[in-house]
Amino acid sequence: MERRILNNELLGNLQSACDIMTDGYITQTGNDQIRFGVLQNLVRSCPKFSQ
Amino acid sequence: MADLIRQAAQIYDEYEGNEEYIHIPDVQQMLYNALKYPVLVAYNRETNELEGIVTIKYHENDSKETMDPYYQKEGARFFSITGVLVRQRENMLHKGIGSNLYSASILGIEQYVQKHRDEQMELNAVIDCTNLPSLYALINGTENLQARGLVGKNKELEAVLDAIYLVRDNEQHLVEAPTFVLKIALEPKDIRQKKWSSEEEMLKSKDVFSYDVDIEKENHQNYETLLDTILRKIKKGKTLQITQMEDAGTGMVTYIGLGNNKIYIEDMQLERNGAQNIGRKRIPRRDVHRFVGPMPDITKGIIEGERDGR
Repeated sequence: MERRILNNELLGNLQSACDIMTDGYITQTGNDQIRFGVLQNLVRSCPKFSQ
Repeated sequence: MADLIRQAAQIYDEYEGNEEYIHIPDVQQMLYNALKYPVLVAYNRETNELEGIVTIKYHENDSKETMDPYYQKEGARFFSITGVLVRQRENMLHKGIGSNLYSASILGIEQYVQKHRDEQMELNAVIDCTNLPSLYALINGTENLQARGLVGKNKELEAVLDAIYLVRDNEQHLVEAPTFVLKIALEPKDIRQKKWSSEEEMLKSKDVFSYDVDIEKENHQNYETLLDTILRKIKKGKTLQITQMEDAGTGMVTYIGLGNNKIYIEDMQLERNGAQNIGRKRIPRRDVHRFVGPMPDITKGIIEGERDGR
């Protein structure tokens, strides 16, 4: 069944996990250009992304 | 970073690997996915380019009519990590992005499910049986969580080969290689004690899937050979749980559950011996630019509070 699952709590948990992975990636590789994130949050934080 | 949906569709469309490894959405399908499911990305903050992407789908098998043919478990509510895709760079500058996307997906879902235990949601990842890079990225992703203590001190999330599925056409030919269904438990457990004391013992303890293909044969014949290899490995004299249902337009899906014969993913080793070359190499559609008009606001699909209908 197709139930709506997208909600702020889920996206928040995933964003927190992405932030942890970003910190770890920088520590492991020294590459500070890469960021991990939730696509929906990126669009929301900067509405022009979706134009 | 203008228009993330088009960029997301673009990074998928640039994929030129084995076309059986991942379903490539077009812009319309990407838009649909982003309205319904979480999508995680890796991006370069200086160039504003996407470097990796994964969509985490969700489904509830609440009746026979709505059962997912690729996860044939009655009553299951489950997240599914679909193919992780990473842009290929010649300089390997971004090595490790795939495993971090798996880590982020698993950790985020684990944190969410911990607060909704009564719903008994599950998490799986599906990977073509010859897709060694994705399997090893998933293994690295789970080990990363364990090594950093992110699911608790000395804790891990048990990840096992839970099932395989096959798709056959009307002539009973396999239409693709068997697919591994890998289940990631969402309840942290104490780290499993390793049974080996040396690297040699560790290597001996591996469950090696050593494929034997003949490139002169038809694809479906080679798929059968892959299946034989896998069945020999997973059966171990025990009974497998086999169910079937049709996926209209695709074929008959046979779902073979391992039951208690579970194989830990970190014990899995693939010897492909050319099996990765059976499927066709994908040709990009280059159709992203054909999507015209303003992109709908995907944030309108997000529920502000808890899930609907709860």
